[in-house]
Amino acid sequence: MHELLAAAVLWLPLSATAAVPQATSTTLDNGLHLVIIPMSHTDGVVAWQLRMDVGSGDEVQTGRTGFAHFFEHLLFHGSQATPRAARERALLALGVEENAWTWFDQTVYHAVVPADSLADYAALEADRLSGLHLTADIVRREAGAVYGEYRKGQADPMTVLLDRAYETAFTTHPYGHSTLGLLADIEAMPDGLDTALAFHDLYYRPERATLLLAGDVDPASATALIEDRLGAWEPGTDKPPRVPVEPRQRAARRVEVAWPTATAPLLSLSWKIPAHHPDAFADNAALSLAGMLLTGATGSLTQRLVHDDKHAYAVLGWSGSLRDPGLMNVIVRLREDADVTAVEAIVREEVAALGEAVDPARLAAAQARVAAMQALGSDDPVLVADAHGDALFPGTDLDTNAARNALLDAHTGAVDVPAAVRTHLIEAHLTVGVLRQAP
Amino acid sequence: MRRHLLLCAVVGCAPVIDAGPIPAVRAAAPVRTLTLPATDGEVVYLAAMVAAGSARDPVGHEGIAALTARALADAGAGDRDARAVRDALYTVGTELTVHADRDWVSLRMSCPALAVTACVDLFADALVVPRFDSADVTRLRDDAVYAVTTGLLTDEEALAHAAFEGLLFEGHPYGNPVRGRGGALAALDPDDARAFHRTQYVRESVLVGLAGAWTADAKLHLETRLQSLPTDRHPDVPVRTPPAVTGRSLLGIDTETPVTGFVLGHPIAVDRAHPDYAAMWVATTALGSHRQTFGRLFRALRTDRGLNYGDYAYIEPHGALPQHHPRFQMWIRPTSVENGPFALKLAVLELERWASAGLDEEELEATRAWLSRTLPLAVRDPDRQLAQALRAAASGVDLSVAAQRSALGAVTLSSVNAALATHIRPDDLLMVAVSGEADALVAALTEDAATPIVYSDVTPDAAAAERDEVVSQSDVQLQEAWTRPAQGVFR
Repeated sequence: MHELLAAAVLWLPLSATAAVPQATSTTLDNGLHLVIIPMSHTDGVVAWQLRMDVGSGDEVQTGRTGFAHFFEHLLFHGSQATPRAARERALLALGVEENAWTWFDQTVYHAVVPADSLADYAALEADRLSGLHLTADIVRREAGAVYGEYRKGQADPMTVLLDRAYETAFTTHPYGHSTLGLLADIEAMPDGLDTALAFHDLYYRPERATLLLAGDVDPASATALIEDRLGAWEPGTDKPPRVPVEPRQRAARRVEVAWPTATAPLLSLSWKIPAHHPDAFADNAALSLAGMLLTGATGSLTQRLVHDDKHAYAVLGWSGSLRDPGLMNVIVRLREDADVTAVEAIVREEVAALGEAVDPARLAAAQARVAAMQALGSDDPVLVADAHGDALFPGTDLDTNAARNALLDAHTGAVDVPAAVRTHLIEAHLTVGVLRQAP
Repeated sequence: MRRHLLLCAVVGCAPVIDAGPIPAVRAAAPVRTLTLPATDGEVVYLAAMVAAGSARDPVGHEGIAALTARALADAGAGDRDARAVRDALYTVGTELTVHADRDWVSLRMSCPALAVTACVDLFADALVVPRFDSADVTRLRDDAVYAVTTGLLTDEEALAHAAFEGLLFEGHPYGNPVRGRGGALAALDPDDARAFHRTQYVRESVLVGLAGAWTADAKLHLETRLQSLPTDRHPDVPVRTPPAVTGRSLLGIDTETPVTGFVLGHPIAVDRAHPDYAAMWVATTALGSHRQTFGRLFRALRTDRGLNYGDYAYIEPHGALPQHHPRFQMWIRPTSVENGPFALKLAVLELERWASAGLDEEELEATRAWLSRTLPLAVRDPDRQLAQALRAAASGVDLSVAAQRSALGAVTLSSVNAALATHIRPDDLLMVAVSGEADALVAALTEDAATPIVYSDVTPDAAAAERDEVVSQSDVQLQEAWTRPAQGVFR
């Protein structure tokens, strides 16, 4: 039930333009935000995404890191009226495929639903959201599955390096721990019934939820349906604890990981960047384009490190759009005989060069690619729901996102990539991570 | 909101196959082109399947099929070197995705409709006039060597699957990783790729398709470009029977990771064309459908006992292109080292119960209903519809939703259970474990000793404890078991 980072490896968190089908947005009386995107050619298929405004970036309680993700697992145990086994039987009959993922800011329950099962699926969702039934035994057993997920992640050098890089970059904000949580806290999850009940009561409230429906849906009837099924979901009364602000980073940091078995060295350079917010849209857009110009198939770092100098097997980049200031990451999988120090210097050189000037032709190509990529996802209701959902954050809506996307457009955009690079991708904001085989 | 030029339910979009199903009768005939009804959307989907998978790797050249396929997209084509190809694809906003499998290679490209001419040229260049520039082929080769040697060591689940196939098909072309083996790969050069392309990428072996907002001009352009493919006969490859699995054996691959995961199974004769396919599909889905929570294995190992993250069963590898040699396999995802023996015993007991007692009527109907209802979800957009139509044409099996629903509808409880009895052989199992303590695992399973489950803070009730005790005391009855280090598995 966890697809951590699966959708975060592109520099294209900025989506939802006129190229994708038109969305309508409504807020129900209980605070649930409903976004409906009808698509005329998706006969009989609806993509469902319930995005809860809670993730590991909200985990401020000592000893309970990883709980947002753990709770995602627990929600699949259903209600007293429809416990897990009955829920699974119902899903079989409805023909629904569902899953979920959790990351820093969100927990997303997604499904592909036959259109004629939408009403019954909405009822099932309402049932578990309002009436989740947990026992100590359920919590203990589910903790074992999370431990299994953690064990798998710890076998992957990239996962481990990035976990350590985030730990190093964030001293105060909960982005410093991975979404799966710290090992000691995972080991304590079996005792988490009371925490789980309190977590549900506090965070799983309609005013913290956005439901996206894309595909074969009629906005009017779907709105009425969701009001009927989820309108009784009660808003919360308590406010979640304040998430601490990360102090300003004033000097570069570094972390080294010794890997016990054979592996190609990994190098990560991670810079603090602004949150995804209307106040920072110009910088958000400029840094997205900077990422595309550095990494990806035609990025300057990819060209130099992979194709020209043959120092690396691959160069990856991702940042994600986050509610609070996060990291922009460049990750290099080096060849075994490559000099890590030399490669690190090359990354700095290329970033510095981008801070001086950007080739207008390459910038135009990146902007054209953004537009084209948005169009390319327009036939699949799941991708359309993803695109809209990824762009919606606290403080943003469909209108502000349209304004943000205009910044990326080659014709209307006025982003200053070099200025954003000079402001944000600087030594004082940098955390360097290196993973290599232990001697 | 956009309208359709042709009102066409997903279910009813029967592909229009212009030049007849595989096999072709004349090598000089035009490349077979398949089209789905055009839409007035903004995207054109181009795809091809080529009968040039790794089963055609010559001995000593293991990995050449996959290397050739990757080089189509990333080692220059036509007038462009690799960088110019990347730039052209990037500017159009698309990518050429190439997937090499056992018997087939697939190429897919999604293209903004306004750029369709440029996309067709890039697509056709890759298929017809790849350059195999030396520096790029060498880079791709090095990348493959890393992936099948060091890279596999950091993904114990991929290692388990690769090792399982290596053992299951030992001495057979399916026994090599699709990407090849380290030693043979390291010796491959651009001329090897050119030679493989020259013999395997001929008109007779290629099937292409268009979907989405394609036009007659685009189709004609693509067909005209593909006329340049050679008209030579596609070399026959004798279909060799995989080695038989007799008795139960276990290979423990020793890693540094403190987990234990398993892949186990045996070859079966049931491919998509087999009359028992639908019955086995229903039965295997009930045992454990990929990433779904309702299967018997998932419920027994994860839901009831929290042993791991997931447990599934297959009669064809998930996401694979059509293959000549299907196998039944179970995937038990990593559990703690201490619970590894118990997890395997439980999985084998579930397999035995499933194979001998079969499904009951309620389970059959629930599984059939889910499969039947989810079929349209898997072809929910033109890209997926085109991929499915190409698979159907390649395998010669009608994979339309209607045909699959009809096949599912014909399944009965007796046909499911008869198919299980015929095709599943629980006593003949090849098992691969990847474990941080492979020697201890093999010892525990061969000593006929109790291997109790270790719960974290869970005290099972008396009935559950009794069921666990039965599992703990059971015997996997291995006829053969051995271990080896992970290092160098596919060197």
